[in-house]
Amino acid sequence: MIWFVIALILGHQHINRGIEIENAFVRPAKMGMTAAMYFQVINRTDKPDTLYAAYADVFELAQIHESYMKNGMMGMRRVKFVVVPPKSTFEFKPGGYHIMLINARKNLVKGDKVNVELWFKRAGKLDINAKVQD
Amino acid sequence: MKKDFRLNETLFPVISTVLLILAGCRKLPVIGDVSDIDVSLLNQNSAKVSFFSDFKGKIVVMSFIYTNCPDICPLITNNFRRLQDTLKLKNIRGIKLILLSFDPNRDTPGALKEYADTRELDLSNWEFLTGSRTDIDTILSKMDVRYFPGDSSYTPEGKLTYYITHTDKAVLIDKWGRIRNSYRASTLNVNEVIDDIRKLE
Repeated sequence: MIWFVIALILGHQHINRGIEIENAFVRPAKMGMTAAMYFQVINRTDKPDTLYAAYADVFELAQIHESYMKNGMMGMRRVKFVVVPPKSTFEFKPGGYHIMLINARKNLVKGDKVNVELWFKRAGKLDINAKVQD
Repeated sequence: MKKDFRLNETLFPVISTVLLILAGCRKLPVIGDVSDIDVSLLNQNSAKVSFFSDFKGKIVVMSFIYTNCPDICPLITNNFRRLQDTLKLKNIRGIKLILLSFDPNRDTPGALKEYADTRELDLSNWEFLTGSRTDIDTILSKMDVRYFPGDSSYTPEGKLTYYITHTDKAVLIDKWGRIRNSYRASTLNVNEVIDDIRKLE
């Protein structure tokens, strides 16, 4: 009961050992396609932490990517990890860093939910329940 | 002296305002011409579309995406949706929106339809187009839009995934097929586009 109340209070926040994930969402996608996931990582600790892996239940593969612009061209590239400095917020946002979700196992439309694991070096595994929204 | 001072004080804002209005009303230059392109494309319903002749007589806002692009292209799509919604709110009619695919191998008409349906887009004045690589390249070249293959890899299950590095651009085309302005599509300023559309009406 207590955990249920705490979960209600926390709402959309996912907290683990000083690392919080807020406002996680995934773009809609048809089966077999790719989508991106966005969120904010809040590091309340006085030490940096490193996001180095992600897994999503309804996608074959999840990778950390960033979009970049060079000479007027937009591209994407994989990054191995992202360091979140102490006492700071790091934003995974459209047009920047994102979790690339590859090969959707089913159609995902607005209102659906995606379970995602985010793995940090210090905080360990954070389970995220991201909503699908455009 | 006092009278002159008052005159200047009155005239300055008037002249400034007139100059600003004139600057705002200036005609958009012609920066390109696609009226002579004659290629056959398919829309999201597999209907044949002749580019550019089918759009003559309409003001067109056009950009470029591929549906397996998870980050930038959904931004462009959302910006076009905002543009469409704003046009409706301002009761500006007859504007055609087009998103042309960079990726005809994967972006079949069916894939484009699914992309639009998943996002519940209003396609009443909006078309997603695909076609042969050659025909798409003809259009992109005329619009100074470039692309090249980005990262590619196979998933553990053997599915090939690849991304396309591409120009981030939208263009405004007048009723005669002349390009009158271009914008960064992923950060499109909808009000700027609408101001430009009004200059063409």
